[in-house]
Amino acid sequence: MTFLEIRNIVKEFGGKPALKNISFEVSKGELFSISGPPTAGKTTLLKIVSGLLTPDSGKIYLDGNDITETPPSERNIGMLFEIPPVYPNLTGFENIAFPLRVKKLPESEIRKEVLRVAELLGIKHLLDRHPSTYSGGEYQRVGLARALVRNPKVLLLDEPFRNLDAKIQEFMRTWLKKLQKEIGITVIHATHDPLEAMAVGDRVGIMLKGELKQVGRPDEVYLNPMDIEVTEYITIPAVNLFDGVIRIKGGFVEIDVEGVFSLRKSCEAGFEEGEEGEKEVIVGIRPHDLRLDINPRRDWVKTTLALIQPYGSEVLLLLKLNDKYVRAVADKTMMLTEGAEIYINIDPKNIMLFDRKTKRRITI
Amino acid sequence: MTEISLKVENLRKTFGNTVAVDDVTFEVRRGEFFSLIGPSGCGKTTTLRCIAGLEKPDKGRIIIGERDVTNLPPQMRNVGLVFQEYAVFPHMTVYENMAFGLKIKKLPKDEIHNRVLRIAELLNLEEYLNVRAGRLAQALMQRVALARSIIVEPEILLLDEPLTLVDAKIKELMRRELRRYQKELGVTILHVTHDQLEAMMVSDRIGVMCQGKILQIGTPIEIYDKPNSIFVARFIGSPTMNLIEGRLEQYNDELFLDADDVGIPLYGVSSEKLRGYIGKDVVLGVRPEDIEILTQPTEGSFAGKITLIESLGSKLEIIVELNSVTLHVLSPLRRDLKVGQPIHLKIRPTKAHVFNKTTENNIMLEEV
Amino acid sequence: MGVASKVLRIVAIAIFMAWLMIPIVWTLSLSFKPYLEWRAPHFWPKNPTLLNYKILFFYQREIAGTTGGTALTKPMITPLINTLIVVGVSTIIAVIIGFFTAYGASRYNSPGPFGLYFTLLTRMVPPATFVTPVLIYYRMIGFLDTQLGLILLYAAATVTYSIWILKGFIDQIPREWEEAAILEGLSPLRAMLRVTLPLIKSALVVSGLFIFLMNYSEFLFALVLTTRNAVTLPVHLTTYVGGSGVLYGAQAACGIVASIIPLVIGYVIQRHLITGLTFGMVRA
Repeated sequence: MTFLEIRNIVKEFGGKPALKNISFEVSKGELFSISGPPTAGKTTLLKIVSGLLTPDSGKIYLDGNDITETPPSERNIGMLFEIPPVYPNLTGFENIAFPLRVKKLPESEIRKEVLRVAELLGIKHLLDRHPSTYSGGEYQRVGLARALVRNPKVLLLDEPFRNLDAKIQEFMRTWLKKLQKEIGITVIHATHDPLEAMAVGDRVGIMLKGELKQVGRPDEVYLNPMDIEVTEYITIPAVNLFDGVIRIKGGFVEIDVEGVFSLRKSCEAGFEEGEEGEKEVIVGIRPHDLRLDINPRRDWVKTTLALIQPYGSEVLLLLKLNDKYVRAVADKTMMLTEGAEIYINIDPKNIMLFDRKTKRRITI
Repeated sequence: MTEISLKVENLRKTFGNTVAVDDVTFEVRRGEFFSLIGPSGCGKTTTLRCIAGLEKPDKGRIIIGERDVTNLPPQMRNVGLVFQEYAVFPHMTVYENMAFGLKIKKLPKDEIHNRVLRIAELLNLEEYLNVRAGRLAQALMQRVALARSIIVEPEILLLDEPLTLVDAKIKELMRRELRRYQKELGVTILHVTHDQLEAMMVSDRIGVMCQGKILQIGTPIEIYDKPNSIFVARFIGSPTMNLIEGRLEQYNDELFLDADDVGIPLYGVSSEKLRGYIGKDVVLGVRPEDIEILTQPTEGSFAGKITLIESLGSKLEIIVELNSVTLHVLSPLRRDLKVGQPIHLKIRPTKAHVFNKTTENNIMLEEV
Repeated sequence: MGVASKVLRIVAIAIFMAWLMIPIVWTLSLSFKPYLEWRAPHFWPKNPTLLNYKILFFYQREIAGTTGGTALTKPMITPLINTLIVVGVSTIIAVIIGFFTAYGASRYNSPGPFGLYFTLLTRMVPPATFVTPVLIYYRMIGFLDTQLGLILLYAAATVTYSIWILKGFIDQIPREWEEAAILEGLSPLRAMLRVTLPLIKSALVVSGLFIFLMNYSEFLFALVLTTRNAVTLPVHLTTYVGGSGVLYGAQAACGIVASIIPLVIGYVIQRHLITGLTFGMVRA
């Protein structure tokens, strides 16, 4: 059930639009991840939700109440900023206790709450120490403790893992997900890394240039991006884009990929019978979806292997096709040498087609 | 010209009571891309700084080219340095940036001009020569930083976490470009990073460091497939390798791991070296992508229950529980799995690693 | 580094230290010399005396022995108190105003860059330019020879230093740290006082000391704007002149006593000085 509703939020800074009509909903206990490049407006959006910034127009509803006009400290929303508010001159305990001291709670209660949160996050050993002695992950957790100690209804996280080592990021993501499920708090998490958003979020929202372009479950958004911008953003390694033309005839569609590939597939259900025609498109192929073979095969296209890069459990390949470069992912077991010939093909079902003019996705 | 661009011998550096670099020895061949990786605080940056001449080691030698530079100041070591913040002068044009180092060396003007044009052509920067460096996109700025550092023709280029602050999307592009240009130009590079995936993507060889020591040196594939210790096995690879403690037992000629309430068969694993460990406590290591998920049991499979399914774009990370043991499995996309579903797992035979519990070394790599 | 260059380094430092310290040590020695030795070339007093110091604190008629003249000197107590009050209060005002201004400049861009550079202008013009206008102005409003007049002038003249020093430190503190406190219920003002202020303690101390020292030795305006009641130490020093000439010994003694105060202050706050002067600050 909808717990947090953001409706038609618009925000401009000095005439320049920062947020263009943002609307979305978050269910109670959900972990909603917003992903977008650095200037997309994620931090601005989070600050508006928390109340630190006022929108030019739009409304925010929390648990049925209109909180658009409510001052930030009364919204019961906690926020962890990109640089966590962990003050170097205070001990861990004092840092976490800060919001409770502001509220002027009795000392015994403060002590109880701080210990409760410290226990929950596994940071009791940091309470007596100063932040200069903390590691990156510990620092983050103390900041999180401070945001949680007031028992907020919603938690906002702004790039919480940005400054951590890659390995620690991996650990913290799982830890966060587990913690969130354990305490059942509603979370909005903002990150510039689309993979992090998809791994962490129950649902993800892709934010580009101030617009929330697409919202959905991670696998849905990944497999069905709505236009080229979203596709380019969420596909890692970067998606391959080709110019192309499609010809629809007799229930089949022929896809001509830059004169290099020619593919054919039957039109999907729901498509109009008897429709014919030609259309200029852009063809998107994910590196993982390319089929590869070192031996020549009929109808497969020849490329030259320009670069091999080990990529964890797989291998990232850069293939030269005429004067263009194509990215592909291969299994480690393939015998690959740079300079060799690699033959590529693609299952038409895995192709993404975009209208060349509108850049939007078309399903055929 | 020598075959070895950099030789580090028994390097040692302490700060007060902490030993930051503890008897580090390695070499970098000419034209090689060598990465030192490890968690923050492992000593990789200090090692780099000692090589650059920014720190004075307590013990050890540093030999660049054929010269012992241990007692020489940085500017006399013939090294190039590229830091995190690109080290380009934002207010100067690309041309001026590239000419800067040569001007300091007081090269004649036309020689400078020629070199700048040549390097610009090699790095595809010709059209940007008159652009202010600060105006360029991140990836281009990195190219300029690279151009600046190689134009003075150093023996070796030292990179200190150059891509750490870069956005996820651009990182992929920059890693590719860095590797391509390095290969094309044959630049010798020593690169320091905490990001193991990055190191794997760009390096010819990698040195894994932990608490001041180098634990293993090898090609990315070697280190990935044959980690010599639990630390290396855990540090390399994402998602992290599964590590399960238990006792190695044998039943009907098949080995399996007895982890209290779970038995994990090591189907198809046979090694003389393991025989000596039967009945002893070991640590089993399996990478998430080396575990198969089957709907039906087969020979060598074991049962578990799916507790979480995470989408990783073109793959799925599936968390499976077997009583007290939790395993992470990396699987290609498939639609037939659900949370709570009981399934069967099987470890790919050649992909199991067994570590000695006390020494944490990889038993299969031990010399008999 | 070879032994030769190390020795050279030590010698250079020794020479530099000597060049700095000799005048100070000479003054110290001079303060203990009797009248006859004031113009003498030898370093240490042959007949050390405390007379010069007595002059500082008591009215004197005679200061010489056999050949000397007479001099009427006023004790330094009033000027000392004046100086402490004037310089102390003006420093505090300058630092407080500087803090608020720097905070506004850093967080709200107000004053903007133009405003900030404008405050710097006050230091770019030779101070002597302002003497006449200020003199006339002060006479008009009755601020001549008052502590208040000097306090306001000193504060206005040095506030630009505290603004610049403090802004640099405040810029280094992430804005989010105050925003977190606001989110938790503090008003922006209280957030500034409870979050930012404690974090820049060292900067406050450094700018305070810097301004204190500037004002402590300010001479021109103190000379022109005071006559009797609000005279400060630098001006008072010039009154040590007798029928026979300048009373060097007394001046030396006065100088030594006047230096004690900054020395004591510097010693007490030295920990903050190290942090503040090296801009070693917040580690995010």
